[in-house]
Amino acid sequence: MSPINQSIKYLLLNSKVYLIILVVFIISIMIIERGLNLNTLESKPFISGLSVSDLRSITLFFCASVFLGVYLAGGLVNLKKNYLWKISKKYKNSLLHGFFIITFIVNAILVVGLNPSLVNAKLMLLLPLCFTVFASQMVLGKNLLVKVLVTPIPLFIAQLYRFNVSLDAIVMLTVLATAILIYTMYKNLFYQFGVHLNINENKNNANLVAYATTGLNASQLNNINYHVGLIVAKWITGSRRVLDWAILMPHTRTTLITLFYVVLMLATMVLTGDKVKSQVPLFTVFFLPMIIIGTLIESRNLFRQTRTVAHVFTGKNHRQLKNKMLFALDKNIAVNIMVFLACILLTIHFFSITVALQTMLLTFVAITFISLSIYPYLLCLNWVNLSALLIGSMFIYISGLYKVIKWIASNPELAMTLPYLASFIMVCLTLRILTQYIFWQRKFEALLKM
Amino acid sequence: MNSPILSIKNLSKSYQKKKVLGGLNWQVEQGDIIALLGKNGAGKSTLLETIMNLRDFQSGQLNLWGHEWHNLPQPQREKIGFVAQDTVGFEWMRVKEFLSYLGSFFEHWDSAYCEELRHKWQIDANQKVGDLSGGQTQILHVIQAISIRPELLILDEPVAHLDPVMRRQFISELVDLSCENNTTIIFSSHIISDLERVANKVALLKEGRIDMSFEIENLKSNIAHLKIMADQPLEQSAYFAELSNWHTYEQGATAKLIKPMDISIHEFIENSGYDIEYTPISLEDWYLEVNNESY
Repeated sequence: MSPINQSIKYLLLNSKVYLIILVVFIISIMIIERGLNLNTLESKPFISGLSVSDLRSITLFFCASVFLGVYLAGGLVNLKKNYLWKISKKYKNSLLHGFFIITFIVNAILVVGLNPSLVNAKLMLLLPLCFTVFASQMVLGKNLLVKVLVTPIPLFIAQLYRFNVSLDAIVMLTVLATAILIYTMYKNLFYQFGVHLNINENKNNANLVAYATTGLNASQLNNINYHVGLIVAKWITGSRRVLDWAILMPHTRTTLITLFYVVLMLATMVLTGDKVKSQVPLFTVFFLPMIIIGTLIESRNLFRQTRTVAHVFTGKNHRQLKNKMLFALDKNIAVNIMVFLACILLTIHFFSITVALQTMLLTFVAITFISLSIYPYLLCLNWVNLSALLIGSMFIYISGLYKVIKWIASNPELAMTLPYLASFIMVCLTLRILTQYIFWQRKFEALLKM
Repeated sequence: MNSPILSIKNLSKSYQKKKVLGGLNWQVEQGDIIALLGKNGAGKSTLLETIMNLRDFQSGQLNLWGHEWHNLPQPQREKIGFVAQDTVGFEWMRVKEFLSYLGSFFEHWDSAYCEELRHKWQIDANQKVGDLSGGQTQILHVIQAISIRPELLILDEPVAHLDPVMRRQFISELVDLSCENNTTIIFSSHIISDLERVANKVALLKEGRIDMSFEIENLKSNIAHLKIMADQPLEQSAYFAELSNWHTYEQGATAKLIKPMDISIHEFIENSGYDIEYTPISLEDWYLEVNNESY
């Protein structure tokens, strides 16, 4: 295999779990873009040459491109820690070539789902690629200042529309800025290649995953975790043998991811214009399952921490321990959803957004209930190796959510009636009993594997 | 005779098609300090984690204090300390929080003793666990395991990352702990010189079974390199069947005794009818010999 092909392989597989999420993310975007119509947005021009639906399309693909950029940069950071990065131009170039080849191919796939009117504007097809390259700077930037200044450049360029700069000129400028950035990447201008990691970082795969998803390194993340941990410590350690800190570290990384995306969404809204604000419900249903899946994967990675204390729990097949794990996760998912809901409601209030609040809340509750009922089964899956079972399970989960959300969107009044609500709750409870039983039967040693 | 604290009968454990433990029998008595030896991949971690109930086994019986794991009373469970081979986790916590948090899982957590150990090993209470060196992290987990004043302590390669000074301190602490609390300690290690200082028994895991288990003093005084003098080349007879590495030469033979016999080495030499010179073998050489494929 040639060096470039190997680089592509290792960049793509640096975190298989997040690769799965990326794939699910892209597929979900395509489903939403092509099928789900929660907002009745008119397609009248928003700014010259760009309708509101175009803007929605760009915003959705912006999210996927950003995710891709952060993900690939996480892989690149790992690979450039090798001394060869310093001494071998071949090694460095193979990684950078690999990085850009993947970026190009994945964004080309993304373009398939773009709004047809955008596909006709040829230059627009380069935008997802630009977003990916700029998003990667969130991880690759040598310090916080570079990260903060370089990453949002496309959003700053987009502001030129306020000065009646044409759309073509804005896109052209963005592409030009991207080209300069790529040049600097090859010339090592803004990058501290060979990031100093603390001694234990390599051992903690979860840290690397968090790094790839938030752009923060382990020590920054540990600091934030620590301070948020102090805040929640009061109620989290109310009694003996509470597992929350051991498997959730302590609510913070996942909450951080939630807030990370919410801040991203809010920034996009503030910078793009009034009519995009009505996209809030769409983002809500889009990010909520992602947050729940993220929480599960993060917790799954941390199960190993229970090894030192697992033996103090009683019951055959570690029944008591497993119940404590589920209880901790129930609480965590509830807290995450509350944080997310609070952010959304504040956004709606702050920007005076008109939304069908009842439908949105109903969708929120439905996603939460379905997720709570199915997640014990998802915890039994092996999230490290891609398998047909994992892909199939995720497909059923996501498509199940999609069907329910679509039904609620088309029948909001009916969904609020007692028979439907009662039936839904009964189905969820039954599902939970079943998935919990599967979790109980799962071998503990299998759960300890990441 | 002490009652067995751990009793394993015919234990088998496989990973898919690969058999790691097969028909393993082992008894560990109260107060023993046992060094578990074996080559890389011999199954030491698997065995220790199976004893800790972290891994299931396919067949056999494993009892602690006469109970199977699911019947083991809560107080007994909280008297077991365990340090895994890879001490990863809780990087974001400070040392004092880590100890306090894990201590909350044990009824008889001795916080004064924990503080004493932390001071002795100079681990800063306010340092982040993630900022500790590999050796300090290992020691921190050992402190956590010892601070419950365990009756049974299981350590999977506890000294792998420690410098010689820390290793000595660690060994001395284990000996103190065993003397004060009659703690039973099972630890795996590749550093043979250390086990001589701390263990009273050694067990060798080979091909999925406890291949040998001896008291260290008995072992040390009964393993030797033998030079058997004769007038002519000497072939291995039935009397010498227990000896390994038999080499015949013009005036006798050389061989090694690496498995203590029912009689002492002196009796063995006296009863042989030959003039035999013997040189004691170090434990390290003994370990190399028993892991030699030709053995």
